[in-house]
Amino acid sequence: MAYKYTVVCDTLGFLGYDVLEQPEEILKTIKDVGYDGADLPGAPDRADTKQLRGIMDTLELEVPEVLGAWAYFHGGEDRDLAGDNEEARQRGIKYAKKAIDYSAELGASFFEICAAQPPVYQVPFPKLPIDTLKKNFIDTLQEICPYAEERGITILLEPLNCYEAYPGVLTTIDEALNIIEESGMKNLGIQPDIFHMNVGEGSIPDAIRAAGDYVKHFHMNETNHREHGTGHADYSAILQALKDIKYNGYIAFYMPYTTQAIFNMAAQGYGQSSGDDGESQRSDLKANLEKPLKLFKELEANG
Amino acid sequence: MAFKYSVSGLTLGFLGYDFSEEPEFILKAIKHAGFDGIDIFDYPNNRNAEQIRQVTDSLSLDVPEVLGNWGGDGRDLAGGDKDTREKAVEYAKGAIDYCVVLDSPVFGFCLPQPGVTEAPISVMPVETLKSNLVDGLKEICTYAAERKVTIAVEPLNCYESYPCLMNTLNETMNVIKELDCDNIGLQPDVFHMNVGEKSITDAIKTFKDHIVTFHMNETNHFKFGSGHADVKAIMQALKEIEFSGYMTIYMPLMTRELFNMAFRGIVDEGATPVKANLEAVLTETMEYIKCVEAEIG
Repeated sequence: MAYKYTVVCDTLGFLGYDVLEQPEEILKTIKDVGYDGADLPGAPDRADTKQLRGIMDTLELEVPEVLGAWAYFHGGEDRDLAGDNEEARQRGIKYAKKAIDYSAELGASFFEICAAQPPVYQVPFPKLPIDTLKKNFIDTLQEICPYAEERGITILLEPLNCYEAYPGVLTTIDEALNIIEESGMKNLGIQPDIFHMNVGEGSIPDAIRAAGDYVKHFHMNETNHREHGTGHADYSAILQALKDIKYNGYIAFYMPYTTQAIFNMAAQGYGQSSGDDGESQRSDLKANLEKPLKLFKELEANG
Repeated sequence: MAFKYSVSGLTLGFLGYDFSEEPEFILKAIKHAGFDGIDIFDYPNNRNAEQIRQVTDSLSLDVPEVLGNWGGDGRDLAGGDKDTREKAVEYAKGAIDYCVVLDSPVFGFCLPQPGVTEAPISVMPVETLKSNLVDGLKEICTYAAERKVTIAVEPLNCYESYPCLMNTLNETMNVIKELDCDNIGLQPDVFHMNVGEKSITDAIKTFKDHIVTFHMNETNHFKFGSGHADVKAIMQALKEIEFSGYMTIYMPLMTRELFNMAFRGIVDEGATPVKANLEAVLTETMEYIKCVEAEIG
């Protein structure tokens, strides 16, 4: 069975592009290159939902998932779903509900949630007891999941590495399974991510097999966040594990980090850079989209 | 040729132990477990060289390295203001003097980024950070050379250190090359290499002539075998390059309670963290490493 492929559009920023600024041009390129879908950023306040839906429908591109903006640098505000700052937790819940509405309007199946920790990370263990953080996170999920269920959205838990998420709460597949079980919520799944799994898991393929049917979406990126093949992700073994669990969801690609100038340009706002011509600094979108698709179609054919 | 093994003094805290509080008990346990030395973590306000030397000499234990306390306030050699960078150099000079009295030939350097992580890309231009770093390291190396101390630079992952400056062996060598100093080399660390390197073993082989010391630990900082570090392949690579320096072994992370007690002074209400059995952990770790060494022949 052939996989379906999608691009995590947040990572287009690594190439200097912002899908919400130039949706038509970028999404058309994604379609032309041969993708089946595009995972859109969870930015309901910035996006023109109707316009986006119209473009996706015209291009016959799916929106498999909307990615939540949970890190401070990403969301522009503290959305802490597990910590002891109740205001930040409520802010996160409010944002999640808004983003779930937006996901439903876009026709997405999934909305991603993680247990991001505040910008000054606490490694290797959090200051607060892990049980307290976990309880807060489960309370949060018990409020968000029913809201999502009424709108036909499944919430996907993405374990992040210990620098990005509270260590010991949602940093491994095992912890994700534990949260799903303890929360009792039915519309929860898991979205493994290779970059993060490389830090937290003993074995990436074994963790995939342990997650089994709960894997609903998959972030196929590299251990160093750069171009596929420049790190040490064992894609053949990972694809075999996905085959073993009879995974039939989307494979989501990250675009690679390119240069500091391009990253800063995207982080500061689309088209801006520190004095240089933003246009000329961007990477070749089509070429960067083509590379992983070609690699994985070959791997799939050989597997 | 057998490897020489040292314990990372800093990681004794993972087991709940504070080296400065009970050095004699800890050093005896280290010796008893079969280690050849201990890397002393530098606490500038508590440099008890005489006491340590007395015990290490009596036990015939080496102090292969003093691990720099670079996470301390105002020790940013790359990104801070001029005053901060000068303070960092002064700190290093004091620590190098400490190496001399401890008879330790190596001083460990790394470059933590302060406060909020800038991953995945540094905010300041990498070239500016690099230029600041090169200036500071030149001064440190000159001071160390006069005292016959070698600087071992440990590349940290992109969350702990400024991204794209010294996260890999290759990036670190690019900095070292600009120094034109003979007394500086690399201290690869398995945990950090797992994030930044394409292949840990290839990186070791590529930079074989520059490796001074080696940090052997697990990809998740827990017990060997719980992550995916290929310890056998790594030791094989070190054997292949005829590595003759010290292999520093990390103690495993145990519980949040022990870590918080040792490093943050936090004990949860009603909790009474119990220290790990030091001798048992040291012996088990040593046995594991010796077993892998025996496998590679």
